[in-house]
Formats: sequence, C-alpha cells, structure tokens
Amino acid sequence: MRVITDLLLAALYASLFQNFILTGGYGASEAIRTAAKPKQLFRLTLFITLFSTSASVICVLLEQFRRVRALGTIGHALIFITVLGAVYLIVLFIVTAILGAKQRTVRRLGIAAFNTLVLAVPFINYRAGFSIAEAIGSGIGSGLAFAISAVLINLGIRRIVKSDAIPEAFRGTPAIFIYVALLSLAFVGLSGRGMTL
Amino acid sequence: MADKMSVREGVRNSAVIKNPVLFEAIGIAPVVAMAVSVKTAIMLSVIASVELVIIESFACLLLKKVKQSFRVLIYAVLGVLINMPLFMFFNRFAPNETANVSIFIPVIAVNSLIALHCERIAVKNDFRTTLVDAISAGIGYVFIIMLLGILREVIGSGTFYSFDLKFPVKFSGLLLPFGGFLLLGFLAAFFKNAIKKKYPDEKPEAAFNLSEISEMHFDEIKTAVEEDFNPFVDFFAAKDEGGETAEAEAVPEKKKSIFKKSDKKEKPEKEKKSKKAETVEAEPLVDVQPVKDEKPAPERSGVYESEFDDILAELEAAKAKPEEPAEEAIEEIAEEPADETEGGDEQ
Repeated sequence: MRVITDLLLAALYASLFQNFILTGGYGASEAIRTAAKPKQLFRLTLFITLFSTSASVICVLLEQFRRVRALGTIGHALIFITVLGAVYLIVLFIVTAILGAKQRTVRRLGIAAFNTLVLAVPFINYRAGFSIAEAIGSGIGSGLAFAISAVLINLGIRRIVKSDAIPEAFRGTPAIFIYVALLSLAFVGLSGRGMTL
Repeated sequence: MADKMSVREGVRNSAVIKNPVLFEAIGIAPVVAMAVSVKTAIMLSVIASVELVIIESFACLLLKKVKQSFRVLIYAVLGVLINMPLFMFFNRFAPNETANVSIFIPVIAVNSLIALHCERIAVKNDFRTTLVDAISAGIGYVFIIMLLGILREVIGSGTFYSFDLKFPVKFSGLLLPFGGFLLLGFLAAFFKNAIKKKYPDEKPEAAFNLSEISEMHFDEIKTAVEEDFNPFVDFFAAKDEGGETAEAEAVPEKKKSIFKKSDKKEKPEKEKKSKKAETVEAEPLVDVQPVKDEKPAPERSGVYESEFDDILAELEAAKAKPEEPAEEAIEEIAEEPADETEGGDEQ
C-alpha cells in the first residue's frame, strides 16, 4: 500500500503540483514545439514516459552502491547519460529491428530520449532521495507533465492564432511565451510556492 | 567580399532574424530556469556556446556518414564530456553560483539547440557554413541569456553582479520560470518589431511553424467522449431521424422539453405559433402510446411546450376577464387537447 501511495504521490507531484515543465522549465522547448505540431504528442509522450521511468529506476538502483552515491554532479551526469544512452539503444533496437518502425518514429525517439526533461528526472530523484516507487512515479509523472503542458499550450496557441485582438508585434512566439508564462504562474500557485513582490 | 557578405548574412539570419530562443523557441529550459543573474548567465552562455561550436564542428567533420539515430546519442555524450572541464573550472572560481546551477550545467548537454543545429546545418553543409552557423546561433543565444540574466537580476533581486542597487521594490517573481517566459515574450515582441522596421521583407515569425496547430488527436478524444461515451447520443440521433426509434419513445416528456428548451428560445414567436397550429391537431397528449403519425420528435416536444404555454396564456386571459367564471374557462382548456388528440388520431 505504501509503495502505491509513494508512486502516486510522486506522479502527482511531478505532473501537477510541481509540473516539471511549467514550474521547472525542463523540456519547455519540446513541449512548446510539440504543442505547435500536436500530431506527435501521443507517441512523444509515450516515449518520454518510457525513457524517464526506465532511466530514473535504473539510476535509483545504481544509487544503492556507495561509490556511485559518493560521486559529484558531473559524475552523476556521466552515469545518467550512460544509462539513458543504454536505454535508448535498447529501445531503438526493439523499435527498428523488431517492430520495424518508420524513420519518422525513430527520429522522435531521439527527441524523446535526449532532452532536458528526461535527463533532469534522475537528477531530481537523486536530489530528493527518492525510493524506487517514487522514481517510477516521477518518471510517469514527467511524461504526464509533458502531455498536460503540451495540450494546454496547444489549446492556447489555437486561440492565439485565431485572435485578431493581438497586436502585430506580439503574434507568434511572443504571445505564446506570455501564454506559457501565465500557465506557469498558475502551476506555481498550485505548487503552493509563495512570491514576495 | 562575397565571403564577408555570407558571414554577415549568416550572422544576421541565425542570430537575429531566426534567433533560436525568441523566434524558434529552442533551448528555452536553461534560459527561463537559470538565467536569473549576471553570473549564472555568463556561466550558461560560456558553456552553451562552447558546446554548440565544438559539437556542431564535430558533427560536420566526422558524423555525416553516421546514422541520425546514433548521432543524437553522440551529441548528448559529447555534451556531457565537454561540460566536465567547464564545470570544474566554474566550480573552482565561482563555487556558490555553480552550486546554484549545478543540475542545469549537465542538462545543457542535451539542449535542443545543439541537436537541432547539428541536424539542420552541420551534417548537411561544409565546415565553413557550419562554423558560421554555430558562432552566429551561439551569439544569438548568449545575447538573450545575458539580457535576460541582467534584467532578472536587476528587477528581481535589485542587484547587478551582486552589487546592491538599493531599489525600494524587488519583483522576485521574475526569478521564477514564469518570469523568464514573461520577459521572453516581451523581448520577442520588441525584437520582432525592431526587425520588421529594419528589414521589412523579413518574417521572424516564419521561424516557428504554426500551420499544423489544429491537427491534434485531442479532437479525436473529444469526439470519442462526446459520441462514444455519451449516454444521450442515441436519443439525439433518434430525434434527428424523426423520432421513430424505441429509445426516443421511452424518453419521458419532461426530459424532452428540457433538451429542447434552448432551441425553443431561439425560435421567433410567429413561427412558434404557426407550428403550434400545424401540430396541435395531430398530437397525442399522452406520450407512452405508440406514435402513429409521422411527426418528428422535435416537433412533438415543441407541441407540448406550446400547449402548455397556450394553457398558461388562456389562464391569464381568464383571470383578466372578471365576468367569465374561472372554473368554466379551466374546464374548456382541459377539454380542448383531448378533443384535438382524438381528431389527430383519426387523421
């Protein structure tokens, strides 16, 4: 029961209360660009969830070794990128050799594996001292966070594109950034973080 | 001269008109999250630009024949390897600032700016073009990081390079990623306006393609929720077909009037009255009997409402006439529909 609670709480934390993308900024470029090309959304979300979950679980397991725990930030970065690279190669093999995926899917695989969000998840787990259940939760939560952010941004961009009330200078990326800022502010409020103005 | 021009054009295109952060929305994560002071901005700028130049050059010289799926892995590993000495260098000279941005330094290794420029330019062009692109995109990226770092430190912390400016008010919210996005939005608008004035033929907004914005599976989900999982979908479909299905018959009279209420409001008063005149004769008052007429369901539900309105109107009229006994008027009204129903059935 405790394991399930930890997993769910970590997933909720990563996706809603501390949305890694909107309150942390990790993977913001990928979320905004995916929001503009939403056809890729589901596959990309699936791959991101897969990579972040598997990488964070393996990295938490490696943290059990005293030598790994003693490493600094750069040492951890090397381990995390090695783990991520290994997971990527395995998934790439499965997707191309076994499932016979198209080149477009393979390209998405690269975008999903190597982005700031997926690499940040093991770091966040390491900093927060997450257990395996929590690591799974944060991995799944980061995928959910990506999907939530991309869908919310997409819905906003659709209105922005149609609106005639937006001044010429603000059309396009300026309006998108301001919209994402407002979304980010909303999620900061959800996280309960205060601001002293 | 021609070479000089092309370098100039390259810088103009990659650093200004297609600024990677402002107009292409790439490499945003470190900018919004960590460019909160001049010192961190300098660190991020140095690391990002060095990485960009080295990895792009490496990709151009050695990775052209490597498969795309393996190249992205090499960019990431190379990025972390380049980060190592830079991290150690900054950790030695600015340990506090390095500790603040410690997660983001390795994370820059998988910055989308690097992968995109390598794939777009480095593996498709010669070394000179690649180098020009790497330097100019780096300049554009560094410029935005520095500008944002200065603005956020001055407005958010009231300091400049840790020197207290003694501002009476500090907007510390700008130090959060939301502040970064907000400032990016205003900077993008400012530079877009400036570019349009200086280069009227250029379109900075073209760098971010929004043509596919409406093509989303979200619509498919919405359709599935509205149609496949909607318990009332059969009822509405039956109404559209003319109320012939059994489900439509089973729906109680009250429910029908609720669903049609909004439609009824939109109808003009004259049209409503004429419709009433057409249908009142044919309509059974009791709905549970099988329908013999060919009237569609919406019309029938409209009949009940119009009848009800009619009864109310006549009641009010009866009240308004003091000479006519009220009880008689009510009896007349109550009898009328029954007669009409019989007549309708006969027809």
